[in-house]
Amino acid sequence: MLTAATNTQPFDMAETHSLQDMRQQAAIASKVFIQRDYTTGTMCQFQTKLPSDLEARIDKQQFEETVRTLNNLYAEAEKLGSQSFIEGCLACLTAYTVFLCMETHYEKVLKKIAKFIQEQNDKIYAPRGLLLTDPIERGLRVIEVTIFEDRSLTR
Amino acid sequence: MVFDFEAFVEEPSLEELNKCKKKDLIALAVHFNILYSKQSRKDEIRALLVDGLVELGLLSQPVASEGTDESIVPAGTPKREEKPGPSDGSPPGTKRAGAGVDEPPNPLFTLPRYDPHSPPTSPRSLDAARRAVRLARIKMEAEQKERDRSAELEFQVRKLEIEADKDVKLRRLELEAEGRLPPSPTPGPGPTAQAAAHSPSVHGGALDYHCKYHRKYHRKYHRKYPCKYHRKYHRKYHRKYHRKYHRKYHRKYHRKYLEVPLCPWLTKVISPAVPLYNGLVFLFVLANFSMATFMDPGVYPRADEDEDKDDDFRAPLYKNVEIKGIQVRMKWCATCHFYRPPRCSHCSVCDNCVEDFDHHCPWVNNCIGRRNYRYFFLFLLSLSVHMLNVFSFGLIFVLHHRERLSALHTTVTLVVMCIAGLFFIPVMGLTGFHMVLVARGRTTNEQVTGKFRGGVNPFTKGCCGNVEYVLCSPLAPRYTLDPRKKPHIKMQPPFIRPDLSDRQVTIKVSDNGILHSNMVSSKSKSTLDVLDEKEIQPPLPPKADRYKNQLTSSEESSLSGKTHPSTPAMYKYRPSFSTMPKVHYHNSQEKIIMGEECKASAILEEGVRGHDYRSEPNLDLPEYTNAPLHRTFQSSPLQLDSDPVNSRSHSLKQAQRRSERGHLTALQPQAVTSTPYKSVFSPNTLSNRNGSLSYDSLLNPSISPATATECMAHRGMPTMGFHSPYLPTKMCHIREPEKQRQQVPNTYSPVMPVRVGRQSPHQRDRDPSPVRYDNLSQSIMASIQERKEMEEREKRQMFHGRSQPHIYAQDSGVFDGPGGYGLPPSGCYSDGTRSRGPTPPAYSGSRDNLVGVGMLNYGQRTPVMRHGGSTMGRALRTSSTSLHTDHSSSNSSQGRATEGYRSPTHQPHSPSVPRSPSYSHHKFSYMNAHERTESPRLGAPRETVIVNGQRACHSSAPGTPLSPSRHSSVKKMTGIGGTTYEISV
Repeated sequence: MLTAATNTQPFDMAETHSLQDMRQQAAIASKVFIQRDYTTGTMCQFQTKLPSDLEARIDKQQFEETVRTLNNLYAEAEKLGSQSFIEGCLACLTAYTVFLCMETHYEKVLKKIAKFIQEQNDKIYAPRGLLLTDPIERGLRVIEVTIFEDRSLTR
Repeated sequence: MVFDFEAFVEEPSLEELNKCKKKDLIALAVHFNILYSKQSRKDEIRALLVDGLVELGLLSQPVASEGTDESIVPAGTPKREEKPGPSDGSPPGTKRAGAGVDEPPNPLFTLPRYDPHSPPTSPRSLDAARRAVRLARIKMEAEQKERDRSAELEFQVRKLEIEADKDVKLRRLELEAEGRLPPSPTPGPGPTAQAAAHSPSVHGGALDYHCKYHRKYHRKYHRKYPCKYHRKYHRKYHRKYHRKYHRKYHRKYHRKYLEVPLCPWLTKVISPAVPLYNGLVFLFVLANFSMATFMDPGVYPRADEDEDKDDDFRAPLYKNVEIKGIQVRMKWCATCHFYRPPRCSHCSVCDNCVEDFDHHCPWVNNCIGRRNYRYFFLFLLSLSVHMLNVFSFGLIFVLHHRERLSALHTTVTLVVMCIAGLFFIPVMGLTGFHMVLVARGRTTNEQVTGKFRGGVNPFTKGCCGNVEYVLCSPLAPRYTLDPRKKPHIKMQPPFIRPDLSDRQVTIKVSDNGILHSNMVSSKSKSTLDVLDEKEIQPPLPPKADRYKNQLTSSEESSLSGKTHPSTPAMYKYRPSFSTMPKVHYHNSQEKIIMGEECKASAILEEGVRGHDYRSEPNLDLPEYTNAPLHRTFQSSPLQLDSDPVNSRSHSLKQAQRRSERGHLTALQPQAVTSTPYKSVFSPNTLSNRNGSLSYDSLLNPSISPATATECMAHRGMPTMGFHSPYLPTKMCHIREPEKQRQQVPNTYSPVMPVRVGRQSPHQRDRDPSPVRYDNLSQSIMASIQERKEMEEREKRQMFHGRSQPHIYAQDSGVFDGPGGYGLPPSGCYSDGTRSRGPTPPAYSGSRDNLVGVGMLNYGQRTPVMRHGGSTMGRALRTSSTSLHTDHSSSNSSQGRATEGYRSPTHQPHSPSVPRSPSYSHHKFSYMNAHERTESPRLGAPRETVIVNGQRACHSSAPGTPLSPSRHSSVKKMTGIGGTTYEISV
């Protein structure tokens, strides 16, 4: 389609843009929010069901795989493990000054999650015009999926 | 017995000691600083001396021998035990008498047996021991004798002295009594005082052995240097050793004791661990307190607008979530714009939503939430422990200082105890409360509000689990982090869309038959495609047209407001209906039935929706500068006559330009519906397909009285009554907008061709971004722009039409009707040919649409107009109907006329096409084939094709199958070339 070709031009121009820039360039059609799954308690888990808005964009299995991995990571982060326990004791012994110079277990996992999301975005979602947002930016309440639309379509 | 003192000091020996007298012994004792009593006898003193000297190591040899004596022979002990006896005993005088009696015999016996002066032989032998014992006895006896003697002498001397003193005193008293002599110091006290000063109690006793080094040096230097040096060296060595030891020991002890300046008494009495322990607890309290105070309790960041956008419109304040099988209510937070997650609450003090909200603690000046509850709890625990400690240790201190309660330390302790005791009660209560809460897995908030009073707590994990969760769970992260650098992800516009088409297509197909809503879903792609194609074609109206639909609607509403106040309300309600396509559908069916039964019902419906129809004319007004309001009013059939040809021709042109093949298809379904109706088809079946069906149904009632064929051909046509055509349009408006806005234009189209043209662009726009259209304001803006553009285009079109007179002539000739009629179609064609020449199918489609529209319009207006061209109008109608449907047979005569009419239109496209209805059929069949091949799923479009005629089918064929067809149908309806036709007629 001619229109599609014309639309690609501005993007070719842009080599690396911040997300904001990208948003401006590729119009945001809508946003989908994947809510928390509270059935197992207040542990941080997200619903794996593919929202209907995304059905047209991404394979169901792929999406569920992503969310499930995220859920596993969060479960790991919130697990009562020996590491977190030792961390707690150490912090207690040092009058919590250790927090100033040490990264907690949860934060480490969060970094892992951020990395994972970035990777998923790069590999799977961005090519489909989707963008996952790290849930931590939303207070771990939702996974925000931004749907981008080709400009040709919007016209 | 001469005793050399100096010699003895230099070289002490037992022999010398034995030889010396008591006086010497006393001197020696004083010299060596050995304690003795003045009253003791000489041998006692000597024994003491020997002991002291042995101790000092000065009398090694004799001491050894004596030591052996004492150790071996128990006789030594009796001898010593005897000493105290005499020493303690009464004055020496008494003893001396006894002793003096015993003395003489002892030496007599012993002397021959023991040799006192023989050097000690082998000490181990029994003889030696005996000898020693004897020696000791002899010595003792001799000493006793000597002692007695000396005591006797002393006694006598003393007696003499006293007597002398007495004499002196008497004498003095006598003299004093005579009053001559002044009192003189008594000579007596002088010597006694000296003796006292010299007494060992002062010297040796005062020194008191306060340290062993002292004594040693004392003695040593004492010995060497007589007393006057003593002090000097004492001082010197004292200072030296003092300094040295002072420093050393002082430092050591200082450090040790200085470490505990807080409670030295407790440290001394109980343990140095007490202050240490208390210090640690205090540190722990402080650390936990600061953590509870300064830590983020788990504040949720507020939702962005994009997230809460839809949520804000949600009526429900609550959302139920199931947690472990228990329903938990999530309340909508109006401040943070999200449903508060379970256990979360909004703190009115901090104005934040806090995760696992416990309470807002004024003492800590912070919310207590998920992140800092652990520290708060530990703070409470450690604080109560600390208070307990302080109180109990204070109590211990005070109890041990009861007698000194007024002392500063005790007072301070009492005050501290009071404070600790006072606060201990509430703190302990709070701690206990929280301990219970932790064990039960609740928060203060939940407990106080009684959330689980009746039910089960879904958050509890068992007692141990809860405690573990509070104390050992990993520290939750902060949610309100500084904006992290966001990952840079490149969004490249050509997005992959995995096999969307297949799924959606299938869905659409199924939907097509039944519901329009499905079509909507499909429309996104299909419409897009269509739009793209359309865009390729240059002349079509600009984007501004897109908004016409909305504009029209808005305008209509406004206009209708003038005519009928009810209309605006209707518009308002539309959006609500839009969600429910089925409902409309049903309405349509009902209406259809009604129409069949009686027109009155249809009329009633019109009355209800009549405003729509009226509104339609209004839409025309903005487009055409010349006849704005007129048109609105003209929309009524009566006014049709008055309609200026130019305006209509313009509309036709526009319609052609804009006419999109898709529109034709859209029209077709409606036509189809009409056809079945005529054929006594149950309109319901047809109606199911599209919202247009409903429209058709509306038409039907009107049609029934009139020529069924006409009705079939065009929506407007069927209704002989002017109202009827409008009614269907109205119906369409209502239903279509609801289902799809695209359809809305269709509804308008029958009434106002111009509109259709506009609407078609609208549809394009809408399809890609339906959201935009929702906003009326935008649409209005667009409409304004559109109007301007439309005006310009109209002018241009006018020129074009004039430039191609021959076309007009043909048209006019064929139709014989008013030149105006002929002109507009010709103009339309010319435009269509020129602009769309490159794309013949589309062009043909556009023409068809125009024709169809024209027919429709014609039909609609014809009844009203009834001009000389009434026959023409009928003929046109019939022809159109014949073309569209097989039913044309009834209208064959008219159909011919229409054929003639059509021929010019068809010529450019397909010269070979015959004018007869058969031709139309032919085309129709052809079109059907196209459709089938291209889009098998389009059952509706086929039908539509049948109704409208081949042309409509053509249009559908080039365009996208389903969705475009609908759009196109709508546009075609609007295609309103029909209006132009009418005008020409």
